[in-house]
Amino acid sequence: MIYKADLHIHSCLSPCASLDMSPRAIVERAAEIGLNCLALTDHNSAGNCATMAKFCEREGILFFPGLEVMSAEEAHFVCLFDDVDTATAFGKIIYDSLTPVKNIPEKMGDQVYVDEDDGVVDFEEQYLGIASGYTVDCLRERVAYFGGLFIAAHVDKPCFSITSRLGSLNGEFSAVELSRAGALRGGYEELTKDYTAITASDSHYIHNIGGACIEFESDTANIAGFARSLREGRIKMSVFDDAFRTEPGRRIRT
Amino acid sequence: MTAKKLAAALGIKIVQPVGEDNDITCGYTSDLLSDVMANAAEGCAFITIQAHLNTVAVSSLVGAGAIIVCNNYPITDDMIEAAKRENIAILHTEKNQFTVSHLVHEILKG
Repeated sequence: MIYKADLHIHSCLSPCASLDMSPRAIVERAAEIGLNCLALTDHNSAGNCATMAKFCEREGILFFPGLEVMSAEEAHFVCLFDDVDTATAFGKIIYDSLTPVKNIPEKMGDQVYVDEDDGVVDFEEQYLGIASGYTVDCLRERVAYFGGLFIAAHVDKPCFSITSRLGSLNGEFSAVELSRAGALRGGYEELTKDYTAITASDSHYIHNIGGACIEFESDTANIAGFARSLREGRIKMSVFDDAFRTEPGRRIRT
Repeated sequence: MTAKKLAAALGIKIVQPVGEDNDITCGYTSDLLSDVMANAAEGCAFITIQAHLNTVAVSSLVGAGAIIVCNNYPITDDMIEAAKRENIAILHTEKNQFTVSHLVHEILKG
């Protein structure tokens, strides 16, 4: 089966994301534009993944629960798991290691847990957009222990990327992610030559969803199938312009 | 001491003057924004080589009065614009963080 996937999306739990980004709205938009594989990657938390999983199941969308973890060096990593329980358990060790800073909603943004009816279940009080206690190497080990995929996020970006924080891409990654702008700009072949490169939208707003995505083929509807495609480098990247992305009712071209 | 006076005492230039009358009472030196968010005090001069939009966001959050960008790190245009909006002066120097931290400490205790 061919999967069209956007694997870096923030819900309303991330302080920097729009409050419109409820799991329901994300999945509805993804289905509307023809995506059939999604990941939810809030900053340092998998707290909205259980709700998201239910909507994905209803829509027949393959779902990878995940988090975008900030390492102690302040580099971002997309960590993806096979099931919500594993992502939640991993999320707990990350949460427990976060630099303690209280969220100030009016300055940093709301961090909202929502249920299936878009109802607010709770507000997260710890600020999530902050460094965890795990260095890159520790994080890699922990993700492997939980059987997840460890993806260096937006390696083309001048801040919060491993390349900007540590000067280079070092060590093993399941994949390295180019931002939508980076994938559009091109010229990162040398940087990513030892890795499988992917791209994703890093959506913070509904209209961003699917703006950058990948296509892969897998016989199994689980993360192992995706991991195999990554290992074999069988990934096709697609980037779309804003006009296309905001045009309602159109399906994604690949 | 105002950010303007501090810049004069340091002999370094102010590249974004909006907020130059902010009162600076202490300094905080770090290149990890999470650390700044958790530990910097209000009214500090934030001494760093992090010269981008997020530097201003964190400075605003902790109530820093000025940002001192060291080692002549290039300052992005969107950082300047954000600092104007947030009323935080930006100082720019070829000196490194160690030297600037020492000087700011000497000047403020003076």
